[in-house]
Amino acid sequence: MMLVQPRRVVVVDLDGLALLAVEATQDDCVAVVHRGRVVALTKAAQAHGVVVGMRCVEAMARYPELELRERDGYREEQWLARLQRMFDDISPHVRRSRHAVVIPSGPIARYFGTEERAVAAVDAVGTVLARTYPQLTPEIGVGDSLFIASLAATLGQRVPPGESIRFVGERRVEELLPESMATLLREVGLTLVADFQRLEPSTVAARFGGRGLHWHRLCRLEADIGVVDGDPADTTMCTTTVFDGDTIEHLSFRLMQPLDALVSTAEQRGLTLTKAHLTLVTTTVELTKTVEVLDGVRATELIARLRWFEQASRLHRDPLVEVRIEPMQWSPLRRRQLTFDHQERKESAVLATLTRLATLYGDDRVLVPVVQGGRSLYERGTWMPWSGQWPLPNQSKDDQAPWPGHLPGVSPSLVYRRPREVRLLDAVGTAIEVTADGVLTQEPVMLVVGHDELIVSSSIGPWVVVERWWERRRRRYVRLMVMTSQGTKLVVRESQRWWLEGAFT
Amino acid sequence: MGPHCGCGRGIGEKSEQMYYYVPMSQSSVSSLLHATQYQPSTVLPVKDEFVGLMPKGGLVTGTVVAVSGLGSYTAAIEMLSTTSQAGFTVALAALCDLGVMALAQTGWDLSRVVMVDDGPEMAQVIALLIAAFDVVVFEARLIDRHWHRLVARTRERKSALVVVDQDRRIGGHRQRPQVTPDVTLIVEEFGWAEPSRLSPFGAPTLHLLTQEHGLVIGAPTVLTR
Repeated sequence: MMLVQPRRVVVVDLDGLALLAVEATQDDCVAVVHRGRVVALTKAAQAHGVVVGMRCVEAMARYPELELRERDGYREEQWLARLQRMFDDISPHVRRSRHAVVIPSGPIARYFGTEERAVAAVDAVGTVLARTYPQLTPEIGVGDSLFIASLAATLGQRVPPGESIRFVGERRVEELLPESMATLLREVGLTLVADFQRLEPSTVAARFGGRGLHWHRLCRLEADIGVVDGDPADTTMCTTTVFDGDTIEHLSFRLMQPLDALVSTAEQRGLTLTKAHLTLVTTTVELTKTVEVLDGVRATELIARLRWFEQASRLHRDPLVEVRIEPMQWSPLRRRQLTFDHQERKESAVLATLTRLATLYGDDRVLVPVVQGGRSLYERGTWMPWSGQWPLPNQSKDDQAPWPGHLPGVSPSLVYRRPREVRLLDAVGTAIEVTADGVLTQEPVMLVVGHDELIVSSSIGPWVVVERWWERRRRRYVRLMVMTSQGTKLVVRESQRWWLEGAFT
Repeated sequence: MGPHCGCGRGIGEKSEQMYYYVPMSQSSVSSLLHATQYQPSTVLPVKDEFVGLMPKGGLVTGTVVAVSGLGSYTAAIEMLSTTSQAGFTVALAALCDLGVMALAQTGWDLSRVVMVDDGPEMAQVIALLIAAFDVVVFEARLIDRHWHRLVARTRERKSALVVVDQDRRIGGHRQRPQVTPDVTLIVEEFGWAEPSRLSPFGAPTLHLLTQEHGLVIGAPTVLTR
């Protein structure tokens, strides 16, 4: 495996690689999803109003027959390596980065005469690719670093030599930086990347930490993102065969030395491992887990994750035959600046604990709070699977929208994820209903929750809520707040039944 | 060489009256201290209304606080809102029905809150959370035979354990392990305040008092959300 860092480069951004990896054609109505959001779409899906970035629930609401397919990162890497070979006729130095093919500009410019001619040759290959694989939309960008060229590719621009810093500086922070970083910068009054570039590194490190310093160095062209050479099949991997009587401790011990040597060698070249595949080969199947860490992962951390992965899969798999660790992506090495109050160390401990919990018990068991728009209590504030970041990114401001029909005032301390069916009775034990005008048939006297019979002292409501009255998927329900001996309950009448939505307890 | 007093007895022998120190080098002592990650107890801030109720005016790390009675969820959310705002990390174990909007409205810093969903091996999950988070909150129904280990781990790692005990299980006969929290925050009465401009349908009102090892401390307090 060879690791390189080019200077002026041509980048071919292969948009649509995710579709290719899940074997979806443009005629299929398919959305590729990752962590609950749409990341790629076929043309047929776009025609039905689904857009990239939408939540899965919203996408399904927009077009119920939409097929959701989970993103396959491993297949994407394989496809990218395959597509990389299409550019071999242009240059022997073709590398790849995330979803893009990278070609150093200098050698091909000398071969073709000028950079323009070289880019035209690359463009011709891109056209052939788009014709062969209709899912792909190749975009070409040229810049003084891989970071700049990748940005230029997404915008479909070619940045002249020496113009890169100005090109980046003219961008708004939200165009270039991740949402959490951009929000922080906007809060301190930095709206353009040029303002961010002018800050001293020490100021950036003190105010925004290691992550801020990384982006600052990228924007000032003092650092670049990494590329990986070689085929995933040829990539150096650490592997060991499992013999009778081997425990995970034995396997970890055997893998530790070569992995540590691999990571140390890369560190000497100024690179750190940011993505790797852990594979457990059993007598029947191969179980693979992708580990992706933005700040780089050390050999000991990777071995720890392998142990947790093995522990989590122990109950559901056949005996192990082989264990593999495959490095998939390298990035420029960056040291995190430790603060005097050990905040970084504390955050690392939390991150390690959450990673361990997610590996041992499943990604969907570690949840984080999300405040968003909506009318029902659970829509407005919900728990979503953890995305691997800590501290968590700042919340969006969607909850500031008016959302007519939502419950104003204080929210209940308990909001049931799966509303429970309850019975609301009058003085003679008859079930209470709501008329078409939204009026209760009788005064509520008793609320029956499971086996508990709660006396209702008073009630507020009912309020009729009609959601999406203009759509076929419209929803009509009635809200009622009842004060009982076990606290105040919020019940909802829908589909001719009463449901317990939340409780103040 | 560490200090030891012998009065004619060999090093390492035990006696009820005398204590012997095994000779240890300085590096061994420091490695032991590093291994246990010894830290002194600190007081985490709580909401102003709770300052008078809590011993030392806040949530003492390495202690167990039970919040019991009807309204305990509201009381716990209110109490920890300032703790969360101050930048301390809070982990919720198997409290999946806790309202996210209630947390947001009371001012929790949602970027430092995590919840682990209910499932098998909750004691192990809580033990892991205790090692990394400043405050760990869970329901009394999760207390099992591992309770004493969790409390010991809390004291060692200087995390604060908050147990929400709405059904007043702690101290009852239903729980096999003898559970004695350091501080018990009791919601004596759960009422409903008159509607106001900010809360058009009214808001919960809590009458609170605190017990430390069974004795009432501090003045009873009334809190309205």
